[in-house]
Amino acid sequence: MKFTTKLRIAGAAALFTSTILAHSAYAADDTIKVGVLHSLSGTMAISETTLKDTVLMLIEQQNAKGGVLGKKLEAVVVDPASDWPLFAEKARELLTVDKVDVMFGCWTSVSRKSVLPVIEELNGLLFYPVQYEGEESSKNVFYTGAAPNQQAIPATDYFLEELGVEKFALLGTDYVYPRTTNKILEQYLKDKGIAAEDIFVNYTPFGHSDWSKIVADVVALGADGKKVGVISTINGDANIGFYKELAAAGISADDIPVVAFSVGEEELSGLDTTNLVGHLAAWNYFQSADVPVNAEFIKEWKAFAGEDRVTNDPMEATYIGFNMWVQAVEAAGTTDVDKVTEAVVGQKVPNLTGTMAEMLPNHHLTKPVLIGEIQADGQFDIVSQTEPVPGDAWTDFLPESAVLESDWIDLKCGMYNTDTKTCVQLNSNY
Amino acid sequence: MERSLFARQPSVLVFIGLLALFTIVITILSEGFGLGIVSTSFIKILGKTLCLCLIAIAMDLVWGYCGILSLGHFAFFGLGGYMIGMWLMYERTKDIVIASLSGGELPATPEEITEAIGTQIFGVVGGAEIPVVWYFADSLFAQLLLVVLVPGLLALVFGWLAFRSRVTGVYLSILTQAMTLALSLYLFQNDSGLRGNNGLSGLQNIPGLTEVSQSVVSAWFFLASALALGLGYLVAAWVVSGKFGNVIRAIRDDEARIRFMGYPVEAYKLVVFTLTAVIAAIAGALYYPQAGIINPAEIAPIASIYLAVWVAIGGRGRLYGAVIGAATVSLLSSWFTGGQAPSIPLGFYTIDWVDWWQVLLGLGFVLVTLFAPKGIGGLFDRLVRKDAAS
Repeated sequence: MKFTTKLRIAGAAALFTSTILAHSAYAADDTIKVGVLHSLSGTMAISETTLKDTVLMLIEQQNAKGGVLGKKLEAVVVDPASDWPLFAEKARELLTVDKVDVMFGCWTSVSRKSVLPVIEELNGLLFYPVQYEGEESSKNVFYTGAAPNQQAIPATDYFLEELGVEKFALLGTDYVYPRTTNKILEQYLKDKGIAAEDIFVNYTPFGHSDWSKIVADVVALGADGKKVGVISTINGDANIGFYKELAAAGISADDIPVVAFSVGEEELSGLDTTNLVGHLAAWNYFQSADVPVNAEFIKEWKAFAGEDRVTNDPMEATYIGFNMWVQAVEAAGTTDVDKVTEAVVGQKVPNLTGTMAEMLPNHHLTKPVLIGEIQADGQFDIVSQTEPVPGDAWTDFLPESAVLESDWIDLKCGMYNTDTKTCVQLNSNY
Repeated sequence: MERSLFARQPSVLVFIGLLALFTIVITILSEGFGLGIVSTSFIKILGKTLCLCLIAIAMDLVWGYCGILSLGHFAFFGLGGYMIGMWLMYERTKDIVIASLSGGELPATPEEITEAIGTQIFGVVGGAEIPVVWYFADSLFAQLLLVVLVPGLLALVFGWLAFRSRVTGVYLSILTQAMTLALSLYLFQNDSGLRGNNGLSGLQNIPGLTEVSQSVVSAWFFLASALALGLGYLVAAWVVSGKFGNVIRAIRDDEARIRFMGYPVEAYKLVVFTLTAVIAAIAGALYYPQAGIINPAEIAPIASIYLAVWVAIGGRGRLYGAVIGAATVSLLSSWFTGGQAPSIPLGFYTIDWVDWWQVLLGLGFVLVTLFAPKGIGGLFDRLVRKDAAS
């Protein structure tokens, strides 16, 4: 018995000291540390690993150019494993143990909401590269993906004005992004004079596969001869079944067009696109954008990651965010978060579609909105492109959000009520 | 003469002593209360690990001692987290709302405050009304009671139905999986009133204690988790020692025989099932304020399967085995996902641990099952026997 006790103490002590050593082994080096907080395992790995590779490529390129402020950039890659609480844990580790100067990361809204309290408490800096539902503005986050007014609203306008759609089906996966986006769109459509009974809203769980009833409902919507359009915020695998069911019902893109906000090149690669050809997607970037800077980016990416790899919208957002951060650090002459946060606002960098992206005081970007038609090879034929649209953190189409404004430069508040002229709260709502 | 618990189970005293020593050392080294050698993020990891050890003990009690392979105990863990999370989120939001409304010309009415809380909490998921299930959310006492009552009642009803119908073995395991899956799918829906896929977040900010730094809060939760683990271990050791313990072990080994001897097998199983559900819920209520967020993915069926794997790795049928299993796997996962394990270049291929750690863990499970069926805890037995023989 005594022997086991000793052994157990020794074992516990060994495990314990080794973990402590591992945690304190990181001394301050003469590098600038860049945290990469993307899931490398679990359900989100398929999407997020691409962004990790993008950041690594950008860091490699920047180091080849001599780094930033004369220092090399060093990536600290962690794996939050598609586990939302783990995002908070890893963010805290990156900020306090590895002492990173900036983080690039997160994909899902829930992962962002998980790290928000941590980065606000520890005054970290995060560049978030994915289109999202808006209704948020944190002092410590720069949103380089689209806000609803940079994707959903222009796509709806395209339906209304170009395609003459009179009845709308808003189909989405049941989580926060579709819920909020559809709430905004419903109000927007009503403001545009579409009757409530001409708007069909439906939510399905993740991975939903039985689409026959819903597709039948959508078809029934157009029984009176009015043109029906589907705005899809369906996420992931569920899309396959949805488009298949549409094709099975004999519906072509000319009969009922579908515009999707979550289907991009990455999702289409390796997928049978037969049923999707002709349908639409709205993004701020397509690989098919025919400008020299994009051709260069695609070439570098293929050289870095492999010939068969594609580029997509969140990669462009990562590219813009990274370059903005580099410019801001050089302008501020330091990596100090407060100074860099101020310096990022107003930075302009070329995006990959031929215009300039500017960071606004609400920590959102100006982005052009592109509508693309899905081709058989999984690429998009760009059918419409707008001038850069300024991102709006709080939507103008919901009464409780319309009064809110975000301005981190003059108002120094992310949730300012313009009616009462007060800052509702300094921290973001998570 | 009834001998004391410690005389019957000497390992209890050893465990409690080690746990106390560990807790004291960590507290002294912590940022919140001591030398600042152990980082706050690591304190949080350790605190969470202690909670996982506690639910592993519950699992060992119900599976290792009573033979009920429940693959749904994380549902109770998650429910405990949701119950405390509701209070944390409601009160934190209430403080923010009151502070922001206090700038107005007229003092805010209670209706205005409630309305603003609803918009704040449910605005992100497209709602504004506070659902009925949040009725008690403003009372810490009520929500603490619910931490025990809700999972306890669920376990009682579920267990009563299952055991009364004599569902045993693999069928019961499947049923428990179905329970946790159903609960998870229900909570994923926005209409369940618990913010769907987003879950409850910002739970690390304790209402009324926003000025207290996270290094101190994390140390409190670490101490509370250690205390809960110690108490949980004592309760479990007390349950399995004595006559009750003999009966449940006998149920595990031969249920029919015990039934023929006149013992109310169902009642015994129901007591163990419900008790372990409550222990799991308490562990969850301590875990999620440290994790900061709870959402339905936490109670997906895989979580409960992992729990069984931890106990198998540590060695079931011995309480310290469950603790060893849970602690080992949890700390290893945390280390490998941290990106601090050095990559191994093999020339033609570089082993990056972020890609390989799960494979390694899986291999570990297989190896333990094949070569050490009694788990890591079983290795102690061999050492003790060798020790005694030489």
